[in-house]
Amino acid sequence: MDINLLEKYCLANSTSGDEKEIRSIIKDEITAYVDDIKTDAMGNLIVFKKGKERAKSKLMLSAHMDEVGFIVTHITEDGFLKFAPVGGINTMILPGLYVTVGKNNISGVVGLAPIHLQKAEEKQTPAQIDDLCIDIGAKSKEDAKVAVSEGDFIYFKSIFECNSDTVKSKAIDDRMGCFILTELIKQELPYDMHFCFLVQEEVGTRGAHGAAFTVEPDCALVIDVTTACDIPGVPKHKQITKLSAGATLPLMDSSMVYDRDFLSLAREIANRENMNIQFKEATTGGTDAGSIFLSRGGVKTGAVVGCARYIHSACSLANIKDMEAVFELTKAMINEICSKKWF
Amino acid sequence: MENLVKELCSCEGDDKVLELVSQKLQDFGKVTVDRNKNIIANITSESGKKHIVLDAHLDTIHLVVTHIDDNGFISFAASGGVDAKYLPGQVVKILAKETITAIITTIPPHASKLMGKEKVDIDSLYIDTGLSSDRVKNLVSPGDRVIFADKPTTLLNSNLASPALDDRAGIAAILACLGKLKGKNLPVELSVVFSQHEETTGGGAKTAAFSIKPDEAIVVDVSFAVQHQVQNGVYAKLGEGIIIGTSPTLSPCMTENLKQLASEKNIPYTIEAMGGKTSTNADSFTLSRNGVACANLFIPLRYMHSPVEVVNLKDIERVSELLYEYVMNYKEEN
Repeated sequence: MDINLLEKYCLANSTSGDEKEIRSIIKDEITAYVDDIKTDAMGNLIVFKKGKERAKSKLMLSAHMDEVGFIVTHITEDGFLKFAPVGGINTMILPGLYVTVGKNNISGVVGLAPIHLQKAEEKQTPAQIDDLCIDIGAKSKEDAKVAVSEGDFIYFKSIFECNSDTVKSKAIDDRMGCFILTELIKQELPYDMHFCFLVQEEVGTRGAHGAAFTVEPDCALVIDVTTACDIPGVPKHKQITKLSAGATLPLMDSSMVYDRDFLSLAREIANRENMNIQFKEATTGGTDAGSIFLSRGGVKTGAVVGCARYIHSACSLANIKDMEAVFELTKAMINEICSKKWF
Repeated sequence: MENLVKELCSCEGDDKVLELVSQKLQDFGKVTVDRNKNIIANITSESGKKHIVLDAHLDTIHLVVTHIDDNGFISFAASGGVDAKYLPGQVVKILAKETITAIITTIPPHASKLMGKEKVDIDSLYIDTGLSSDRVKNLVSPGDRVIFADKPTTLLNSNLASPALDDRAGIAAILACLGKLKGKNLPVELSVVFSQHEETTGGGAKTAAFSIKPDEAIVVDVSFAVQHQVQNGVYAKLGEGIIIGTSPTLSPCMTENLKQLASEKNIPYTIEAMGGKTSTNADSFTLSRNGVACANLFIPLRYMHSPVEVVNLKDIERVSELLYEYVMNYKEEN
């Protein structure tokens, strides 16, 4: 697998509603391998690739292009930026952040009152996003407004590092999914199918609505990334998923109950091919599947997801072998899904 | 100045830092590293003249590995006044047999009922390398230092954000001053010490003061600048001048001279008045042997003791100018 491409995908700065940069990178990467590629009104990339045979069930594979980030809400008189999250951010990670703001790539930091000056009560409580601001080194509001504006998107400054099968980077959710779809697109496929690179998943799985309506699939498979909490201090039954335990099958979350036939299919394939799989041991969260399955008269929708520690923060941690497992399982599943009529 | 500060802040590891800073000092005088790993340089030595020492501290706040569990997760302690609120999710580097990039854990909301409301406690944080436990145990040992991974980042208006500006900014100011003094006849005997242990015990300055035997010491450190959460009129603004410290424990004579010189030479400054000890190396110097007259010069800094400390490069330049002027204009009767 081309880890350099994964790096390129992860480091692209594209949050919900601002997917231009990643969309352009993905488009450049896949255009030579596909038969039709369109950008729709929302910014989704809708892709069609012919396979060796016509599919008996029309399949849509999806991953989302957007990452979580922030948006500038207000510029204070002394030139600091107030901000709101785009998508669900773990606020514990905000103090000490380095960020990039807006189209001019202005650098900024998020700091706290020095510990020496904090009152006793302040020392006891974590900072809330309303109390924080981004410091870009501006002297005043006017000075700041030359460089940035209200409404500018804000991105994590991130490393990308691969060491012994471990990947550390921002945006593994869901650039890993985009990467897996890309790797599939670059191969010869057994059946015709659609690939959708979706926008605005992190702000309510919004891109998925229009894409599913356009493609009008019979079946769909969502490739996303979920949270691994296999860290000290979290009781075993709340760890949700673990690194190095293979591809994850979500069972149910706040957006839907995942298709049971596809779940059985995944288990069957994993058993047969000796693949490592695990289940998402929580019903929290949601994916684009929650919007796709409700499209038109309904879509038979499942998901195969990767997992990473510290998602929705400046640096997540995932395992390459898990990513490969998601790829292999997805590849096997699309064969079986397309090869028959399911209803 | 920007390149110098960036170089000093980016350097990783005790040995590399000692090497880098010693090398830079070698341009100006004879350099020794003492038993406490203070770097001491004699710039000029002429007997009969007053002996002034310029001090900045080499050590920074950081973390220390205390324990590695059976899953490879690393427990740690703080060295110096680390604010634990900065730690969850922070990317760090473990200076072990190899340098390993790692992430400090953070427990997501669903797994903790109190998430977002309870105090961040170092005891419930761990360093996660993502590597197998065997690999971690092979490479990492208790005692290994852990630093913030972030590198210096330029902001607007000559402001610079980086870990370790406390007190690499001070080191940069002194090195720049030495650059200006090079080749000149000095009216004083001049030494420089880049001291260790300031953030913990103050012990580096204590022993260096004993060895150096100065008459006067100017201690260059950082102090609080106005930032979003620190607005009151007491503190300096970034980029608008340096801070001259004043306190019952500092030399009124030296402090007054510094103020006068700053005014004469158009170096903007504000005063930071402290009621007693300064919480800098001056506290150690003043008690050495027969006593040493001390002054404090501070570089205004935001978000002290964090990975995102911010200073203004112009302020560092201004400190180096004032140090230069103090040395060159030194008169005995002062």
